[in-house]
Amino acid sequence: MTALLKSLALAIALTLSGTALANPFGGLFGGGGGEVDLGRILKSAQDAFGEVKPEQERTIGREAAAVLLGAVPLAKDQTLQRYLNRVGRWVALQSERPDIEWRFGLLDSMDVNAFAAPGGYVFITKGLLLRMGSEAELAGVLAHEVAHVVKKHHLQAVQKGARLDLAVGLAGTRMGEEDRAKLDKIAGGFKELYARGLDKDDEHEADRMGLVIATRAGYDPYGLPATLQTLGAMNPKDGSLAFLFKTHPAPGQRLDLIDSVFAPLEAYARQPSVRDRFLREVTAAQKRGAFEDPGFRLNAAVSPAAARHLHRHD
Amino acid sequence: MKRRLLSLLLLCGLSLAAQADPAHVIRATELKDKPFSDAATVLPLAEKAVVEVLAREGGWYKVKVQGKQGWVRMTALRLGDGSAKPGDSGVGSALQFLSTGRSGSSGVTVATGVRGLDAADITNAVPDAKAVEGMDKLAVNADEARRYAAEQKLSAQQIAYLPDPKAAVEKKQQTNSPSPFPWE
Repeated sequence: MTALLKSLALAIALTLSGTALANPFGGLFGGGGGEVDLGRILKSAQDAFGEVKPEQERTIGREAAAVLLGAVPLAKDQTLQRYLNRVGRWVALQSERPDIEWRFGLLDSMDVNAFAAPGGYVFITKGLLLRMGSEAELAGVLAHEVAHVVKKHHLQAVQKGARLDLAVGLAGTRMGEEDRAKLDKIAGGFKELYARGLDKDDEHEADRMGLVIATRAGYDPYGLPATLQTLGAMNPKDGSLAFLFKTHPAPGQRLDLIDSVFAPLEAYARQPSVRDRFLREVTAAQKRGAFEDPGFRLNAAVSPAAARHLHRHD
Repeated sequence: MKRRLLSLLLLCGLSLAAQADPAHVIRATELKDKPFSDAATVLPLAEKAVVEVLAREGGWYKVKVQGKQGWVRMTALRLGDGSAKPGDSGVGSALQFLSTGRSGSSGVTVATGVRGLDAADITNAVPDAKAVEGMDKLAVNADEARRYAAEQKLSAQQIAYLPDPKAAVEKKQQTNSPSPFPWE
Protein backbone atom coordinates (compact mmCIF):
# COMPACT_ATOMS: atom_id res chain seq x y z
CA MET A 1 0.00 0.00 0.00
CA THR A 2 2.71 2.43 1.01
CA ALA A 3 4.63 1.45 -2.09
CA LEU A 4 1.61 2.27 -4.20
CA LEU A 5 1.26 5.71 -2.67
CA LYS A 6 4.93 6.34 -3.19
CA SER A 7 4.84 5.45 -6.86
CA LEU A 8 1.73 7.55 -7.28
CA ALA A 9 3.45 10.55 -5.75
CA LEU A 10 6.45 9.92 -7.95
CA ALA A 11 4.27 9.75 -11.04
CA ILE A 12 2.70 13.08 -10.14
CA ALA A 13 6.03 14.72 -9.49
CA LEU A 14 7.42 13.46 -12.79
CA THR A 15 4.43 14.53 -14.79
CA LEU A 16 4.27 17.93 -13.17
CA SER A 17 7.89 18.63 -13.93
CA GLY A 18 7.43 17.47 -17.52
CA THR A 19 4.14 18.26 -19.16
CA ALA A 20 3.21 21.12 -16.89
CA LEU A 21 6.26 23.19 -17.63
CA ALA A 22 6.11 22.56 -21.33
CA ASN A 23 2.49 23.51 -21.68
CA PRO A 24 0.98 24.97 -18.54
CA PHE A 25 -2.70 24.73 -19.44
CA GLY A 26 -3.27 22.86 -22.66
CA GLY A 27 -1.29 19.87 -21.52
CA LEU A 28 -2.70 19.84 -18.07
CA PHE A 29 -6.32 20.14 -19.02
CA GLY A 30 -6.26 18.54 -22.41
CA GLY A 31 -4.97 15.19 -21.32
CA GLY A 32 -5.71 13.80 -24.77
CA GLY A 33 -3.70 11.83 -27.28
CA GLY A 34 -0.75 9.88 -26.10
CA GLU A 35 0.08 12.18 -23.21
CA VAL A 36 0.06 10.98 -19.68
CA ASP A 37 -3.40 11.69 -18.28
CA LEU A 38 -2.33 13.86 -15.41
CA GLY A 39 -5.90 14.66 -14.48
CA ARG A 40 -6.61 11.02 -13.87
CA ILE A 41 -3.49 10.58 -11.79
CA LEU A 42 -4.26 13.62 -9.71
CA LYS A 43 -7.79 12.40 -9.25
CA SER A 44 -6.54 9.16 -7.77
CA ALA A 45 -3.98 11.09 -5.79
CA GLN A 46 -6.77 13.15 -4.36
CA ASP A 47 -8.76 10.05 -3.53
CA ALA A 48 -5.70 8.67 -1.80
CA PHE A 49 -4.51 11.80 -0.06
CA GLY A 50 -7.77 13.34 1.01
CA GLU A 51 -10.31 16.03 0.37
CA VAL A 52 -10.32 19.31 -1.47
CA LYS A 53 -9.15 22.00 0.94
CA PRO A 54 -11.82 24.43 2.17
CA GLU A 55 -10.04 27.42 0.55
CA GLN A 56 -9.96 25.60 -2.78
CA GLU A 57 -13.61 24.71 -2.41
CA ARG A 58 -14.36 28.38 -1.76
CA THR A 59 -12.46 29.50 -4.85
CA ILE A 60 -14.32 26.99 -6.97
CA GLY A 61 -17.64 27.93 -5.36
CA ARG A 62 -17.08 31.63 -6.03
CA GLU A 63 -16.62 30.90 -9.71
CA ALA A 64 -19.72 28.66 -9.75
CA ALA A 65 -21.75 31.39 -8.04
CA ALA A 66 -20.37 33.90 -10.56
CA VAL A 67 -21.75 31.72 -13.36
CA LEU A 68 -25.23 31.77 -11.79
CA LEU A 69 -25.14 35.51 -11.18
CA GLY A 70 -23.90 35.98 -14.72
CA ALA A 71 -27.05 34.21 -15.92
CA VAL A 72 -29.43 36.08 -13.61
CA PRO A 73 -28.65 38.98 -11.27
CA LEU A 74 -29.50 39.23 -7.59
CA ALA A 75 -32.82 40.89 -6.74
CA LYS A 76 -32.19 44.52 -5.80
CA ASP A 77 -34.27 44.52 -2.62
CA GLN A 78 -31.61 44.48 0.12
CA THR A 79 -34.10 44.03 2.94
CA LEU A 80 -35.44 40.86 1.38
CA GLN A 81 -31.87 39.64 0.74
CA ARG A 82 -31.11 40.26 4.40
CA TYR A 83 -34.19 38.31 5.46
CA LEU A 84 -33.10 35.39 3.31
CA ASN A 85 -29.63 35.46 4.90
CA ARG A 86 -31.03 35.58 8.42
CA VAL A 87 -33.23 32.53 7.85
CA GLY A 88 -30.60 30.75 5.77
CA ARG A 89 -27.78 31.22 8.25
CA TRP A 90 -29.92 29.90 11.09
CA VAL A 91 -30.79 26.85 9.02
CA ALA A 92 -27.14 26.31 8.00
CA LEU A 93 -26.09 26.50 11.65
CA GLN A 94 -27.93 23.20 12.14
CA SER A 95 -25.81 21.46 9.50
CA GLU A 96 -22.44 19.76 9.87
CA ARG A 97 -20.75 22.85 8.44
CA PRO A 98 -22.12 25.65 10.64
CA ASP A 99 -19.06 27.87 10.43
CA ILE A 100 -18.28 28.24 6.74
CA GLU A 101 -19.09 31.59 5.14
CA TRP A 102 -22.69 30.98 4.15
CA ARG A 103 -24.11 33.38 1.58
CA PHE A 104 -27.76 33.34 0.52
CA GLY A 105 -29.00 35.16 -2.53
CA LEU A 106 -32.42 35.93 -3.99
CA LEU A 107 -32.25 35.68 -7.78
CA ASP A 108 -34.14 38.25 -9.83
CA SER A 109 -36.17 35.78 -11.87
CA MET A 110 -39.79 34.71 -11.81
CA ASP A 111 -38.76 31.22 -12.86
CA VAL A 112 -39.13 28.67 -10.07
CA ASN A 113 -35.74 27.34 -9.00
CA ALA A 114 -33.03 27.10 -6.35
CA PHE A 115 -29.30 26.41 -6.57
CA ALA A 116 -26.26 25.76 -4.45
CA ALA A 117 -22.57 26.25 -5.15
CA PRO A 118 -19.59 24.78 -3.29
CA GLY A 119 -18.28 26.53 -0.21
CA GLY A 120 -21.62 27.82 1.09
CA TYR A 121 -23.50 29.68 -1.68
CA VAL A 122 -27.26 29.16 -1.85
CA PHE A 123 -29.69 30.80 -4.27
CA ILE A 124 -33.44 30.87 -4.67
CA THR A 125 -35.51 32.68 -7.29
CA LYS A 126 -38.22 35.24 -6.58
CA GLY A 127 -40.63 32.97 -8.46
CA LEU A 128 -40.06 30.16 -5.97
CA LEU A 129 -40.20 32.45 -2.94
CA LEU A 130 -43.59 33.78 -4.08
CA ARG A 131 -45.02 30.29 -4.24
CA MET A 132 -44.27 29.56 -0.60
CA GLY A 133 -46.69 30.14 2.24
CA SER A 134 -44.46 30.19 5.32
CA GLU A 135 -40.92 30.49 6.63
CA ALA A 136 -40.96 26.74 7.29
CA GLU A 137 -41.27 26.24 3.52
CA LEU A 138 -38.44 28.67 2.86
CA ALA A 139 -36.31 26.95 5.52
CA GLY A 140 -37.07 23.56 3.96
CA VAL A 141 -35.92 24.64 0.49
CA LEU A 142 -32.82 26.41 1.84
CA ALA A 143 -32.01 23.33 3.95
CA HIS A 144 -32.19 21.17 0.81
CA GLU A 145 -29.58 23.45 -0.82
CA VAL A 146 -27.49 23.55 2.36
CA ALA A 147 -27.43 19.74 2.23
CA HIS A 148 -25.97 19.87 -1.31
CA VAL A 149 -23.14 22.03 0.05
CA VAL A 150 -22.58 19.85 3.11
CA LYS A 151 -22.38 16.71 0.97
CA LYS A 152 -20.32 18.50 -1.71
CA HIS A 153 -22.61 17.13 -4.40
CA HIS A 154 -21.69 19.78 -7.00
CA LEU A 155 -17.99 19.53 -6.36
CA GLN A 156 -18.04 15.78 -6.82
CA ALA A 157 -20.26 15.95 -9.89
CA VAL A 158 -18.00 18.48 -11.59
CA GLN A 159 -14.90 16.49 -10.78
CA LYS A 160 -16.51 13.37 -12.15
CA GLY A 161 -18.14 14.92 -15.20
CA ALA A 162 -15.70 17.47 -16.52
CA ARG A 163 -12.44 16.11 -15.15
CA LEU A 164 -11.81 19.21 -13.18
CA ASP A 165 -9.65 17.23 -10.83
CA LEU A 166 -6.64 19.23 -11.85
CA ALA A 167 -8.31 22.58 -11.52
CA VAL A 168 -9.38 21.49 -8.09
CA GLY A 169 -5.91 20.27 -7.29
CA LEU A 170 -4.36 23.58 -8.28
CA ALA A 171 -7.03 26.06 -7.26
CA GLY A 172 -5.48 28.34 -4.70
CA THR A 173 -7.06 30.65 -2.19
CA ARG A 174 -6.44 33.79 -4.19
CA MET A 175 -6.69 33.39 -7.90
CA GLY A 176 -6.09 36.50 -9.92
CA GLU A 177 -6.53 37.23 -13.58
CA GLU A 178 -3.35 35.30 -14.38
CA ASP A 179 -5.32 32.23 -13.34
CA ARG A 180 -8.12 33.10 -15.72
CA ALA A 181 -7.64 29.96 -17.75
CA LYS A 182 -8.12 27.84 -14.67
CA LEU A 183 -11.15 29.84 -13.55
CA ASP A 184 -12.65 29.58 -17.02
CA LYS A 185 -12.23 25.84 -16.89
CA ILE A 186 -14.03 25.75 -13.55
CA ALA A 187 -16.78 28.04 -14.87
CA GLY A 188 -17.20 25.77 -17.90
CA GLY A 189 -17.58 22.71 -15.70
CA PHE A 190 -20.27 24.40 -13.64
CA LYS A 191 -22.15 25.69 -16.66
CA GLU A 192 -22.39 22.15 -17.88
CA LEU A 193 -23.43 20.89 -14.44
CA TYR A 194 -26.09 23.52 -13.75
CA ALA A 195 -27.54 23.05 -17.23
CA ARG A 196 -27.70 19.28 -16.72
CA GLY A 197 -28.50 19.06 -13.00
CA LEU A 198 -27.25 16.70 -10.32
CA ASP A 199 -27.91 12.98 -10.15
CA LYS A 200 -31.40 12.13 -8.95
CA ASP A 201 -29.94 10.28 -5.96
CA ASP A 202 -28.17 13.47 -4.85
CA GLU A 203 -31.49 15.33 -5.04
CA HIS A 204 -33.27 12.69 -2.98
CA GLU A 205 -30.46 12.71 -0.44
CA ALA A 206 -30.67 16.51 -0.19
CA ASP A 207 -34.44 16.16 0.37
CA ARG A 208 -33.94 13.69 3.24
CA MET A 209 -31.22 15.82 4.83
CA GLY A 210 -33.03 19.09 4.18
CA LEU A 211 -36.12 17.85 6.04
CA VAL A 212 -33.96 17.09 9.06
CA ILE A 213 -31.90 20.29 8.94
CA ALA A 214 -35.03 22.49 8.78
CA THR A 215 -36.61 20.49 11.61
CA ARG A 216 -33.42 20.85 13.67
CA ALA A 217 -33.82 24.60 13.14
CA GLY A 218 -37.13 24.36 14.99
CA TYR A 219 -39.48 24.63 12.01
CA ASP A 220 -42.53 22.59 11.16
CA PRO A 221 -40.98 19.65 9.26
CA TYR A 222 -43.64 19.78 6.55
CA GLY A 223 -42.21 22.93 4.95
CA LEU A 224 -40.30 21.27 2.11
CA PRO A 225 -43.14 18.78 1.41
CA ALA A 226 -45.62 21.68 1.28
CA THR A 227 -43.53 23.45 -1.37
CA LEU A 228 -43.18 20.22 -3.35
CA GLN A 229 -46.96 19.81 -3.16
CA THR A 230 -47.38 23.28 -4.63
CA LEU A 231 -44.90 22.61 -7.42
CA GLY A 232 -46.52 19.25 -8.13
CA ALA A 233 -49.88 20.94 -8.62
CA MET A 234 -48.51 23.42 -11.12
CA ASN A 235 -48.93 22.75 -14.78
CA PRO A 236 -45.74 20.99 -15.85
CA LYS A 237 -45.97 22.89 -19.12
CA ASP A 238 -45.66 26.19 -17.28
CA GLY A 239 -42.52 27.74 -18.71
CA SER A 240 -41.35 28.97 -15.33
CA LEU A 241 -41.00 25.34 -14.21
CA ALA A 242 -39.37 23.86 -17.28
CA PHE A 243 -35.75 24.20 -16.15
CA LEU A 244 -36.46 22.96 -12.61
CA PHE A 245 -38.37 19.95 -13.92
CA LYS A 246 -35.64 19.17 -16.41
CA THR A 247 -32.98 19.06 -13.71
CA HIS A 248 -34.87 17.49 -10.79
CA PRO A 249 -36.98 14.39 -10.17
CA ALA A 250 -40.73 15.05 -10.41
CA PRO A 251 -42.24 16.58 -7.24
CA GLY A 252 -44.62 13.61 -6.84
CA GLN A 253 -41.74 11.18 -6.88
CA ARG A 254 -39.82 13.28 -4.37
CA LEU A 255 -42.88 13.39 -2.11
CA ASP A 256 -43.28 9.61 -2.33
CA LEU A 257 -39.70 9.07 -1.20
CA ILE A 258 -40.07 11.67 1.54
CA ASP A 259 -43.26 9.97 2.75
CA SER A 260 -41.44 6.65 2.99
CA VAL A 261 -38.86 7.96 5.49
CA PHE A 262 -40.70 10.79 7.21
CA ALA A 263 -41.99 8.97 10.33
CA PRO A 264 -39.26 10.03 12.83
CA LEU A 265 -40.01 13.71 12.11
CA GLU A 266 -43.71 13.37 12.90
CA ALA A 267 -42.85 14.03 16.56
CA TYR A 268 -41.86 17.60 15.57
CA ALA A 269 -45.00 18.38 13.58
CA ARG A 270 -46.12 20.93 16.17
CA GLN A 271 -43.08 23.14 15.65
CA PRO A 272 -43.96 26.59 14.27
CA SER A 273 -44.39 27.35 10.56
CA VAL A 274 -43.60 31.04 11.14
CA ARG A 275 -46.17 32.12 8.63
CA ASP A 276 -46.74 35.68 9.82
CA ARG A 277 -43.16 36.88 9.72
CA PHE A 278 -42.70 35.35 6.27
CA LEU A 279 -45.81 36.99 4.87
CA ARG A 280 -44.95 40.29 6.51
CA GLU A 281 -41.53 40.29 4.83
CA VAL A 282 -42.90 39.27 1.44
CA THR A 283 -45.76 41.76 1.38
CA ALA A 284 -43.52 44.57 2.62
CA ALA A 285 -41.20 43.75 -0.27
CA GLN A 286 -44.13 43.74 -2.64
CA LYS A 287 -45.11 47.22 -1.46
CA ARG A 288 -41.57 48.37 -2.13
CA GLY A 289 -42.02 47.10 -5.66
CA ALA A 290 -39.68 44.13 -5.35
CA PHE A 291 -41.89 41.95 -7.53
CA GLU A 292 -42.78 44.48 -10.21
CA ASP A 293 -41.25 42.82 -13.20
CA PRO A 294 -42.15 43.74 -16.74
CA GLY A 295 -44.64 41.19 -17.97
CA PHE A 296 -45.37 39.91 -14.50
CA ARG A 297 -48.35 40.64 -12.35
CA LEU A 298 -50.01 39.02 -9.41
CA ASN A 299 -53.33 37.93 -10.81
CA ALA A 300 -56.79 38.31 -9.39
CA ALA A 301 -56.83 34.94 -7.75
CA VAL A 302 -53.74 35.82 -5.77
CA SER A 303 -54.88 39.20 -4.65
CA PRO A 304 -57.85 38.70 -2.28
CA ALA A 305 -55.55 37.91 0.58
CA ALA A 306 -53.15 40.62 -0.49
CA ALA A 307 -56.03 43.07 -0.58
CA ARG A 308 -57.12 42.21 2.94
CA HIS A 309 -53.57 42.38 4.20
CA LEU A 310 -52.77 45.66 2.55
CA HIS A 311 -55.98 47.26 3.83
CA ARG A 312 -55.47 46.04 7.34
CA HIS A 313 -51.96 47.34 7.56
CA ASP A 314 -52.19 50.57 5.61
CA MET B 1 -53.33 54.48 -13.18
CA LYS B 2 -51.20 51.55 -12.30
CA ARG B 3 -52.48 51.65 -8.75
CA ARG B 4 -56.04 51.73 -10.00
CA LEU B 5 -55.50 48.73 -12.15
CA LEU B 6 -54.08 46.96 -9.14
CA SER B 7 -57.07 47.73 -6.94
CA LEU B 8 -59.38 46.58 -9.71
CA LEU B 9 -57.50 43.32 -9.78
CA LEU B 10 -57.74 43.11 -6.01
CA LEU B 11 -61.50 43.62 -6.16
CA CYS B 12 -61.91 40.94 -8.80
CA GLY B 13 -59.90 38.72 -6.54
CA LEU B 14 -62.20 39.21 -3.59
CA SER B 15 -65.05 37.56 -5.42
CA LEU B 16 -62.92 34.48 -5.91
CA ALA B 17 -62.01 34.26 -2.26
CA ALA B 18 -64.44 31.45 -1.60
CA GLN B 19 -62.69 29.12 -4.03
CA ALA B 20 -60.20 26.58 -2.79
CA ASP B 21 -57.46 24.43 -4.20
CA PRO B 22 -58.47 21.04 -5.45
CA ALA B 23 -56.45 18.04 -4.32
CA HIS B 24 -56.83 14.35 -5.02
CA VAL B 25 -56.50 11.37 -2.72
CA ILE B 26 -53.56 9.16 -3.75
CA ARG B 27 -54.25 6.34 -1.31
CA ALA B 28 -57.39 5.46 0.60
CA THR B 29 -57.56 7.50 3.79
CA GLU B 30 -59.97 9.05 6.28
CA LEU B 31 -61.39 12.50 6.81
CA LYS B 32 -60.76 13.27 10.51
CA ASP B 33 -62.57 15.86 12.59
CA LYS B 34 -59.26 17.08 14.05
CA PRO B 35 -55.68 17.06 12.76
CA PHE B 36 -54.64 13.96 14.73
CA SER B 37 -54.50 10.34 13.65
CA ASP B 38 -56.55 9.24 16.68
CA ALA B 39 -59.29 11.82 16.07
CA ALA B 40 -62.78 10.67 15.10
CA THR B 41 -63.31 9.69 11.48
CA VAL B 42 -65.83 11.80 9.60
CA LEU B 43 -65.73 9.94 6.29
CA PRO B 44 -63.62 7.32 4.59
CA LEU B 45 -61.99 8.68 1.42
CA ALA B 46 -61.26 6.47 -1.57
CA GLU B 47 -58.29 6.77 -3.87
CA LYS B 48 -58.78 9.42 -6.58
CA ALA B 49 -61.45 11.26 -4.59
CA VAL B 50 -61.18 15.02 -5.17
CA VAL B 51 -61.31 17.37 -2.17
CA GLU B 52 -60.94 21.12 -1.67
CA VAL B 53 -57.98 22.22 0.43
CA LEU B 54 -58.68 25.16 2.74
CA ALA B 55 -55.54 25.33 4.89
CA ARG B 56 -52.49 23.43 6.08
CA GLU B 57 -51.50 22.72 9.65
CA GLY B 58 -48.31 20.72 10.02
CA GLY B 59 -48.77 17.47 8.14
CA TRP B 60 -52.52 17.93 7.78
CA TYR B 61 -54.67 19.68 5.21
CA LYS B 62 -58.02 21.11 6.25
CA VAL B 63 -60.37 20.06 3.46
CA LYS B 64 -63.97 20.17 2.35
CA VAL B 65 -65.48 17.12 0.67
CA GLN B 66 -69.06 15.99 0.12
CA GLY B 67 -70.28 19.01 2.07
CA LYS B 68 -68.23 18.09 5.13
CA GLN B 69 -65.11 19.70 6.58
CA GLY B 70 -62.30 17.89 8.26
CA TRP B 71 -58.62 17.03 8.16
CA VAL B 72 -56.65 14.71 5.88
CA ARG B 73 -53.01 13.73 6.15
CA MET B 74 -50.86 15.62 3.66
CA THR B 75 -49.17 12.38 2.64
CA ALA B 76 -52.47 10.92 1.39
CA LEU B 77 -53.12 13.90 -0.88
CA ARG B 78 -51.54 15.55 -3.85
CA LEU B 79 -52.51 19.10 -4.66
CA GLY B 80 -54.21 19.48 -8.03
CA ASP B 81 -57.17 17.46 -9.22
CA GLY B 82 -54.88 14.92 -10.81
CA SER B 83 -55.02 16.43 -14.27
CA ALA B 84 -52.99 19.60 -14.55
CA LYS B 85 -54.51 21.76 -17.25
CA PRO B 86 -52.82 24.35 -19.38
CA GLY B 87 -53.13 27.70 -17.69
CA ASP B 88 -52.84 26.33 -14.17
CA SER B 89 -49.98 28.15 -12.68
CA GLY B 90 -49.53 26.93 -9.18
CA VAL B 91 -51.25 27.24 -5.88
CA GLY B 92 -50.32 28.30 -2.42
CA SER B 93 -48.30 31.40 -3.18
CA ALA B 94 -47.09 33.58 -0.36
CA LEU B 95 -49.67 36.23 -0.96
CA GLN B 96 -52.54 33.80 -1.05
CA PHE B 97 -51.84 32.57 2.44
CA LEU B 98 -51.97 36.05 3.87
CA SER B 99 -54.00 36.58 7.00
CA THR B 100 -56.34 33.68 6.37
CA GLY B 101 -53.75 30.99 6.14
CA ARG B 102 -55.72 29.35 3.39
CA SER B 103 -54.29 28.54 0.05
CA GLY B 104 -55.78 30.33 -2.88
CA SER B 105 -57.44 29.10 -5.99
CA SER B 106 -54.91 29.71 -8.66
CA GLY B 107 -51.62 31.39 -8.35
CA VAL B 108 -49.16 33.70 -9.85
CA THR B 109 -49.58 34.54 -13.47
CA VAL B 110 -46.33 34.67 -15.29
CA ALA B 111 -46.68 36.22 -18.67
CA THR B 112 -44.17 35.90 -21.44
CA GLY B 113 -41.40 38.44 -21.45
CA VAL B 114 -40.54 37.85 -17.80
CA ARG B 115 -36.92 37.26 -16.99
CA GLY B 116 -36.62 33.52 -17.13
CA LEU B 117 -33.73 31.31 -16.25
CA ASP B 118 -32.99 28.26 -18.34
CA ALA B 119 -30.08 26.10 -19.38
CA ALA B 120 -29.17 28.43 -22.24
CA ASP B 121 -28.93 31.42 -19.88
CA ILE B 122 -26.45 29.45 -17.80
CA THR B 123 -24.46 28.18 -20.74
CA ASN B 124 -24.16 31.68 -22.19
CA ALA B 125 -23.47 33.37 -18.86
CA VAL B 126 -20.48 35.63 -18.44
CA PRO B 127 -19.39 34.93 -14.84
CA ASP B 128 -20.04 37.95 -12.63
CA ALA B 129 -17.42 37.83 -9.87
CA LYS B 130 -18.28 41.34 -8.64
CA ALA B 131 -21.86 40.29 -7.92
CA VAL B 132 -20.59 37.38 -5.84
CA GLU B 133 -18.36 39.73 -3.83
CA GLY B 134 -21.37 41.96 -3.30
CA MET B 135 -23.08 39.16 -1.37
CA ASP B 136 -20.57 39.59 1.45
CA LYS B 137 -22.18 42.75 2.71
CA LEU B 138 -25.53 40.99 3.11
CA ALA B 139 -24.07 38.09 5.06
CA VAL B 140 -25.45 37.37 8.51
CA ASN B 141 -23.26 36.09 11.33
CA ALA B 142 -24.20 33.22 13.62
CA ASP B 143 -25.20 35.42 16.57
CA GLU B 144 -27.49 37.55 14.47
CA ALA B 145 -29.06 34.40 12.99
CA ARG B 146 -29.66 32.99 16.48
CA ARG B 147 -31.21 36.22 17.68
CA TYR B 148 -33.53 36.35 14.68
CA ALA B 149 -34.60 32.73 15.22
CA ALA B 150 -35.24 33.35 18.90
CA GLU B 151 -37.67 36.15 17.97
CA GLN B 152 -40.01 33.46 16.69
CA LYS B 153 -39.16 31.00 19.48
CA LEU B 154 -37.41 28.67 17.07
CA SER B 155 -35.31 26.33 19.17
CA ALA B 156 -32.61 24.04 17.82
CA GLN B 157 -33.16 20.28 18.06
CA GLN B 158 -30.78 17.38 17.78
CA ILE B 159 -32.16 14.99 15.19
CA ALA B 160 -30.39 12.23 13.26
CA TYR B 161 -30.56 12.11 9.47
CA LEU B 162 -33.09 9.80 7.86
CA PRO B 163 -31.79 6.57 6.31
CA ASP B 164 -31.74 6.09 2.53
CA PRO B 165 -34.71 3.78 1.82
CA LYS B 166 -32.90 2.40 -1.22
CA ALA B 167 -29.87 1.41 0.85
CA ALA B 168 -32.19 -0.22 3.38
CA VAL B 169 -33.87 -2.26 0.63
CA GLU B 170 -30.54 -3.36 -0.81
CA LYS B 171 -29.34 -4.38 2.63
CA LYS B 172 -32.53 -6.29 3.23
CA GLN B 173 -32.19 -8.08 -0.07
CA GLN B 174 -28.67 -9.06 0.81
CA THR B 175 -29.68 -10.54 4.15
CA ASN B 176 -33.12 -11.82 3.22
CA SER B 177 -32.42 -13.62 0.02
CA PRO B 178 -30.61 -16.82 0.90
CA SER B 179 -31.54 -18.46 -2.37
CA PRO B 180 -31.60 -17.10 -5.90
CA PHE B 181 -34.19 -19.77 -6.79
CA PRO B 182 -37.73 -18.53 -6.24
CA TRP B 183 -39.22 -22.05 -5.99
CA GLU B 184 -37.20 -22.91 -2.94
